[in-house]
Amino acid sequence: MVKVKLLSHLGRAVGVQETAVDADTVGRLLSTLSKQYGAPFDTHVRMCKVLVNGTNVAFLKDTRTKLADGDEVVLMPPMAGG
Amino acid sequence: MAITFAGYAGRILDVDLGRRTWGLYPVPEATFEQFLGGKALAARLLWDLIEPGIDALSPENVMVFTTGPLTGSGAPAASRFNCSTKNVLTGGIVSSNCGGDFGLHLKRAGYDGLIVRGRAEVPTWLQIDEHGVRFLDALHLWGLEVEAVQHELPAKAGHVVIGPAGENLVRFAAILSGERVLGRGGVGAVMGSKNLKVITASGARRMRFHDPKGFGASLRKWVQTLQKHSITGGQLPRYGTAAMVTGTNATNTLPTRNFQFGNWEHAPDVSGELMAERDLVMNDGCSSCPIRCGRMINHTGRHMKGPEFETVGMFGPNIENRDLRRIYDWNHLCDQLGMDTISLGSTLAAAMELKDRGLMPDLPVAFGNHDAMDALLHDIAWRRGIGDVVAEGSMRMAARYGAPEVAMHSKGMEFAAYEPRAAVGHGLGYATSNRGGCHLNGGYLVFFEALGPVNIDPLTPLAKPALAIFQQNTFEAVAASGGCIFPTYAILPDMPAWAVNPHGASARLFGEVLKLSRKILGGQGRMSPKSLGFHVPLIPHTKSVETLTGIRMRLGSFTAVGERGFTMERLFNLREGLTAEDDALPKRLTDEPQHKDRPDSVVPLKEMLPVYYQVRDWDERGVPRNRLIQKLGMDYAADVVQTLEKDPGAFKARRTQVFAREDGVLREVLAPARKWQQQAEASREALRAAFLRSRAIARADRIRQSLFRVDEVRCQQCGLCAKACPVDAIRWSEGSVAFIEQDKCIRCGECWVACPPHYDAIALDPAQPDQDRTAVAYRVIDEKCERCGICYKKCPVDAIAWQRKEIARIDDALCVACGRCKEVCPPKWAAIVCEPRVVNPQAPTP
Repeated sequence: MVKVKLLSHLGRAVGVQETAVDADTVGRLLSTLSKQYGAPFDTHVRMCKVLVNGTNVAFLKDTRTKLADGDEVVLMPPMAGG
Repeated sequence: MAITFAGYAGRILDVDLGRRTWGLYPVPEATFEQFLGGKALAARLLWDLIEPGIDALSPENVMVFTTGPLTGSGAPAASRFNCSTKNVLTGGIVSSNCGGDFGLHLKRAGYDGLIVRGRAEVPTWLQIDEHGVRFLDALHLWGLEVEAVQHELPAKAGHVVIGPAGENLVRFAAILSGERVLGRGGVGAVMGSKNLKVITASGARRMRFHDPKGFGASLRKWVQTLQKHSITGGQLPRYGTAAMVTGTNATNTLPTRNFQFGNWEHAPDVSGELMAERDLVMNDGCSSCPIRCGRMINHTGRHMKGPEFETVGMFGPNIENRDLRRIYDWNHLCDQLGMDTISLGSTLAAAMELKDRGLMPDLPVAFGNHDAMDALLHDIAWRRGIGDVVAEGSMRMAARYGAPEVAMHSKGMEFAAYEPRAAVGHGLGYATSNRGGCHLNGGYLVFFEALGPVNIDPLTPLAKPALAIFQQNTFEAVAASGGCIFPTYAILPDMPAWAVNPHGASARLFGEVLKLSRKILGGQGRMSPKSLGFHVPLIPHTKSVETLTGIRMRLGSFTAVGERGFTMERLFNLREGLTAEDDALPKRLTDEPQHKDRPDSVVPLKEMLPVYYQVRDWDERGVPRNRLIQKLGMDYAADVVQTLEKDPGAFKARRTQVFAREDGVLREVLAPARKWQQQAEASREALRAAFLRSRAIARADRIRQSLFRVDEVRCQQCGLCAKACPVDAIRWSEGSVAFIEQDKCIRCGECWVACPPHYDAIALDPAQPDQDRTAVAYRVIDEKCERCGICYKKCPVDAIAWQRKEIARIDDALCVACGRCKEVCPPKWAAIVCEPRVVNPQAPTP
């Protein structure tokens, strides 16, 4: 199982801030979550960064990034402050 | 010198506290055009006003408060004002920016800026309005916490106030304007060293717009963009800046245990999401801001200001505190005492690390143990015991204990709550920021590298210098225009086509292009301000400034304002003795990887700095080249540049000398401040009564010499004056301008007192010599007085004392000689007479 965290307004939109999913790649994990939570998830996830154990998947293998048991995936909408 | 641009008040007020004089400071129109306002203009003024090598806490230091053209114009998030002065932490310049309403009111009073020089002999309250400046005694407020002081100030005026930390010269003391804070760089300590407790400003001047229609149209579009954007219309209003606790935690940029780590397992316990769900009452914001990122929370049954991300980061993970409610308390306490939560939190973390190492055993708090924090915060603000050491800031404190490496600072000022080893460009920003370890002055690259909607490798040094410079210049120009930088987060629109999504080849492509941005942005330093002569929708400030002021402001000239401001501050720093060696970071961040298995998780500062200097068109030792100075039209700095080109360490001794004598200077200023604190504490009520009486006497004096008239342009038709008039001399009906019938008016001044200061619609005209009432006084003839008290009841200015079965007494100092008492005294007694005045009106009656 992979631990998934949904931050900020993504978490609020789907009503869950933390969950666990059984998936072996980022792509499968996202489609599982999409099926589970539907439109609110799809709307917000388009803008989200996906981090696997703290590293942005854009610098790994994008959706083909492999996931192992116990990995932590964070879906993070853009944010800023100052 | 009047200026012709719209949007400006056109005047800079110049106050000398030592001499108790004031005037206008002449600023050429071209200077406004080149620097716009805000911190850029302030840096330009300080260049002329401050003698290099002076002590920040000495009377020779000068504070400059400035607004920008957009301040008070109604543009989104444009209520900002700035305070710049010599920095008590770094020895260079500090600029501190605030969204409180002081700037707005200063501009309404008719001033774009305020220069404060010298040192007052006694605690002072500066009262500014359209008619000028009054120097009021503030001894009765000295030693009070911020809320208690604000309670004593007129509600409809803008004010800035220092707390006990400012009076006690804590090196990270802040200035408060309402609930908003001029936090960084110890501006509160400089204000305290001038014995200046309060500045209030009020007025009713209206702003002139160059192209009102164009301005309105640009604003509407701008507000719509902000409200639709996922950051400015989503995250910030919903969760405030504190949402970033979980975001920085996920991206390893959350400073933990004094910047030893970049993430913390307990971060969700102090997250913005938790604050929003559990404690948020409503979101709050500065005036004219559609974003409303401020928090109003319910804590222990009281509604109070919620903490910002920086405060949570510093008082949470950085000192390993898991209790969000304690952060609320400390945040509130810091506001009351007047301290910067960023520098304080970082200094506390450094102190805790010193304690861990056994170097500071008497510190009553430690990582994970904060029971004694409340008392410690008071001790810091009042400089008592160990608090006196912490009040010096992390650099001085760590050096004192022989472990300078634990202080997380650049140039002497502590970093904000972003750990830069997982966002290395942000680290470059910390190192090059002019005021010290500042995230915003540094360009806020963490937005690109970790938190924002694009993917750019956070660990690569490639492109970061050019990007940092672009951001620094843009932020600088936005601040100069009077705007908040938050609207610039909408600079990257969230269009799903290229905004980041996990399947986004386009997003990755954007990241790759950004990497090449040195090639695109690398010529910034050599680019003429006249190039890029167009507006871009992503930076709406240019169009707003242009339509507001009439100054031709396009992308090129706008970023040139930022470049000029940044270079001005850099030159100020160099002239004060800072050098390229001070563009540095602690070894922890440059040499010790954040993750042991990722040797590249350090800030490669040595690689980035030379490129940064090159793109800025500075020489390899960090000195702006002469051609850059010429390009920016800053000839007045040419001789300093020439000296530095020959020897970049030419002025180094200045800073060393300032640091060597700074403790002596501090103690010298502190001694009288403490004496006043004791004096005020011992007899606050009596002092307060004396203050109020002196105000009433001054008011009576003015009323005696004036005639009253309604200013028809300013009258807001509220009718308050008509209701206050004791003799019905004011004609007013709902929806009409009030009118004073001069033949009925007794000149008691009640209408003037009743008219709200932000209308200021009652005009005082000087009385003719034969109408002047300073020479007359009313007196009760004891033998005739029947002790009925009717004069006491009818006196409009409360100048008569009377008790049942006692003779009435008229207080000559407060009497405005309106004659109402003589009129109402029953004719058969005629106990009140008008006589030539004999007493000195200034002397209090026994």
